[in-house]
Amino acid sequence: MNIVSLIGSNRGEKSTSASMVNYLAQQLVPQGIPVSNHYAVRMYHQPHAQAVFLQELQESVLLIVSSPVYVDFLPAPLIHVLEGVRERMGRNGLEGRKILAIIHSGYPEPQQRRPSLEMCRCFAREMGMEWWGGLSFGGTSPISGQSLEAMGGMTKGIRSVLNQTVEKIVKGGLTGVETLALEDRSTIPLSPWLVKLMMNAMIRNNAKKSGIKDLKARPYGVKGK
Amino acid sequence: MNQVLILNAFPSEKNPQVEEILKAELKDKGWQCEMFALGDMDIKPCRSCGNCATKTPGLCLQKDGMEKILAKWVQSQLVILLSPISFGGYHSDLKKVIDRLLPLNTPYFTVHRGELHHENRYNPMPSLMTIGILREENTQEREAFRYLTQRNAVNMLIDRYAAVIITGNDEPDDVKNQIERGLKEVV
Ligand SMILES: Cc1cc2nc3c(=O)[nH]c(=O)nc-3n(C[C@H](O)[C@H](O)[C@H](O)COP(=O)(O)O)c2cc1C
Repeated sequence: MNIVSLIGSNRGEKSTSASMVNYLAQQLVPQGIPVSNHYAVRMYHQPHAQAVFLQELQESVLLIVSSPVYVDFLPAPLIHVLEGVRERMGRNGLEGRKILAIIHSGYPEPQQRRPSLEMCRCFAREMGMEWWGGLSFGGTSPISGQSLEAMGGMTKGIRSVLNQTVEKIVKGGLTGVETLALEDRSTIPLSPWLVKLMMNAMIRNNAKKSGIKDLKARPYGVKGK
Repeated sequence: MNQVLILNAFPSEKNPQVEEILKAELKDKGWQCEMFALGDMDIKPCRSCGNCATKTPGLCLQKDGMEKILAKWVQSQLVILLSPISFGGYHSDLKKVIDRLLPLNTPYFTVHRGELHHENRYNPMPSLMTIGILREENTQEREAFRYLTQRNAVNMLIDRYAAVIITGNDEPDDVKNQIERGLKEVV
């Protein structure tokens, strides 16, 4: 089995989306399952990279889409790549292949990730792929492209879900599902009110330290309001 | 006079009727509208650098078509997003603009409808109407598009919003009725 990953973050290799795929690959590759990484933002700027991706995608068994949420949805370069796949391969052009989506976001609530998971599932349906389900992780901003292990206890829940996923991929235990998200974990176990208080205090302190006076500045004015 | 910003990712050569009907409806209501044809504009993807939140509050370091759009956004009472539906969501040309809206937030957090969100930098935000165009009927994509519109409204702390979904073979009268209904919900 060979796996192709599509990393949706505009931060490419330095992203948390890449950290998640790298964590999976570290366990899959030694077991003889290669994982080839492709970056949406690179393909957006270099059409040649998209041709390589399409070629590998056709030869693969499983596509893993790993992406952050940007304003409730997948980042534009990732959508651009998915549109390109549909245009070149046509409806049902990826029949027989499977897809797993890893969608993560800054905010903790599961509903913040649902539209992105839905989009991956709509893509799967249109391309005739078998939906292997989604993994949904909240509160991922502090990871900021570091390795999941380096984040210690904070990423324990995420790693545990990814470990189970590796096991299922290796043993062939993942099969087509109806469910949108197989798992949802957040690194933030606190109430939103408490998070708000803590984060805002930290933001104010950081601004003071770096000499930024007005974080609420309105450079476009308030004309007409 | 009320101002409307239309962000159009639906090339008019594909179906000029939708654009014409929309503009006529707005004119009828005495609204002044400005439309940006996104496919023709230079708009770069967000670099996810975070500078617009904490280093240059409210300003993006990339200089391109987004400056005009942001300036217009904060002066408008209604924003209309017109887009082909891509897998239940916006086309990438429109999404590029949406990804670049972070300068409209402050870095501060707020709790809205029990969820964490960022505060708006400009208040009140304009109402939001989305018009999605489906090539053919698709229930899942229709539902996903509606839900996305609702999520955007929650995220941007917008109270009045509407999602209008048009399919490629809708008659002009249907299109007109749907747009009218959508406008009633947001105006
Ligand atoms: C432009 C932009 C928009 C974002 N919008 C959301 C959002 O709507 N909801 C959310 O929960 N997180 C949002 N985030 C936070 C990211 O999803 C989060 O920081 C994630 O960990 C980034 O992962 P990456 O390193 O793979 O890009 C946004 C981040 C950026 C840069």
